[in-house]
Amino acid sequence: MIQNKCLGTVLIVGETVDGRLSAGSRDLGNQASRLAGQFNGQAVGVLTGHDIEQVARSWSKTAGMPVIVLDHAQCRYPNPPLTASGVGALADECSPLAVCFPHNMRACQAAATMAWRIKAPCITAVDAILKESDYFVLKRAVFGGKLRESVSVGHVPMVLTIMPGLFSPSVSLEVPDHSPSVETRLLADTNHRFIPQGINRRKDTDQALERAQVVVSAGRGLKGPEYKGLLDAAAGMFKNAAVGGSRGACDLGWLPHSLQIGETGRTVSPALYLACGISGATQHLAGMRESRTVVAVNTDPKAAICNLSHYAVIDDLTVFLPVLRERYDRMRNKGDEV
Amino acid sequence: MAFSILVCIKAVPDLASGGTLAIAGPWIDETVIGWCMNHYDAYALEAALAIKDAATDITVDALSAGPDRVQNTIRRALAMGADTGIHLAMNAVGRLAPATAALSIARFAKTKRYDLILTGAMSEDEMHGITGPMIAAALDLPCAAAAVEISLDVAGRSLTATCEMEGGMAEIVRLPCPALLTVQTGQRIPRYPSLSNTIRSRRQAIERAVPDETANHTPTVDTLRVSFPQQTTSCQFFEGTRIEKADRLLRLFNDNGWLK
Repeated sequence: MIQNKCLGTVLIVGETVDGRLSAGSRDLGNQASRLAGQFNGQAVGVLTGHDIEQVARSWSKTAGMPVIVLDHAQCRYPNPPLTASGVGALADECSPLAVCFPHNMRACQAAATMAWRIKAPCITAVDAILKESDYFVLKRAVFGGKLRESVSVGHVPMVLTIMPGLFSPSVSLEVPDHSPSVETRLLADTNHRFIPQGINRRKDTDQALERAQVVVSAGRGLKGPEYKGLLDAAAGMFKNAAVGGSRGACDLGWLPHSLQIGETGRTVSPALYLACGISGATQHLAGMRESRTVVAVNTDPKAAICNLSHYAVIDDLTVFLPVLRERYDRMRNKGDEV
Repeated sequence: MAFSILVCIKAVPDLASGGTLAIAGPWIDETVIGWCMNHYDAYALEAALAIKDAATDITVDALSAGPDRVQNTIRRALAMGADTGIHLAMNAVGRLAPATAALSIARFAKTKRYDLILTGAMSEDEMHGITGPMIAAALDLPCAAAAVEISLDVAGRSLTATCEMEGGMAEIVRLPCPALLTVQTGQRIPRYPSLSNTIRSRRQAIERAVPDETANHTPTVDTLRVSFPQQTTSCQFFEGTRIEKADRLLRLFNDNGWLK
């Protein structure tokens, strides 16, 4: 199924976690045909896991592409070295134009490992692809989203990790008269040096953040844990609010890690997201992108968060939030509207 | 039983202390900024020093590749407690591609037979997240990415790492040593240099190695340009005094029925 010489192949690499398709892989599958189209190629899915044929069939159907399952008992949990060797062997076989992984840290590992082995260029966190006459221009965020970088690659295959939502989901207008094929290959038992032991799932004590109508969230602009009370005071103005934070604020110990919003933390989609002192790194945006209204309080009008915000106040949150709360109290005491 | 750790650190533009980015040519203007240790690499160094603190006969080498300016970052690593500082003198003007850095570091590390190599999960500036895994690939070492907890069994020559995944999950993996881990931020806040280490770091010589940069087999990826993100016009910036801005925001919140 991967011998279509006319079009060339774009490998779309997904993964399963304990028998379930990962969220990033689902998203990448939805983008598969447009991604392949950008390379003027045809998407072929590759899915790693163990005993996952049903998952592969369903992924293949929704993404509208044939899927090759790379099966190994040690792929029940993500296994970048086995993924790299399995996908690397497929790349040798079908000479793809590009190999696309979803963007996360272990996919970066698999991509880097296989790119090294097949001597291909590796570009991660790609969020736009343009075709020029004889090369491709790939765009990505650098410096935590403060700048955008455009790189050119003229070499195929190229190995990429793709940011979620690069293209809106592909909508297939034609109803295929047959389901795309799914083929399973057993990976050779070669890797004994990366031994997955299991998965820890964070036990969130409550779902307050996910259920909140308003999320008041802080980043490094909070300056220190002594200002956390300002967030609670701001949250106290709303009917149903919870406090969260960016990775920066949580790593510094200003807020507990359980409140971290972003790619590796929690995902929220409140009616109002009040982003205080948050620069807007792509990893953070991944956890709050679906918020209906975003208001930024930030000293830097060029901060990436302002691009996603509907409203912004350019100010230091440690000065502005107390004023906001004071004006709120005054309004309530007077009993009149502002 | 002796156990040696190499930590790879990168000097990146220092934006935390108020530096701002300016564009020059296809990249940033490197003449108008200061440099500091990549945040992620500081966590990798802290992880190594914590291992050293908890056992005996463990050595920690800190290595940085690049032009002479990286020596300040190496001194910082010595001041934090690294035993040896190594400067891989690479004259590349501007930036080192991940594959180039990885190849040079791997060639150097091969001669030293480290039991464990740590790198940051990515660099703050270029954000590739691939240099560590490429070093591992070049040395054929087992590798795990984005470790937030490391538990080392020195006698058994193996380690167990908890590696961060998205959505609050973490994968636990076991690797035999020698191995390479990329370290994610969060577990232990990097220590401040002690006075005694700071004094030692000023006197201590930095080991200098000049790598062979000729045989780099990876295809080049050229940066065409960098640009500031386009400002979307849809964001409305509130103007006026602080009180006026607060009142307008409260009106917005009130009109939507969010306020108590």
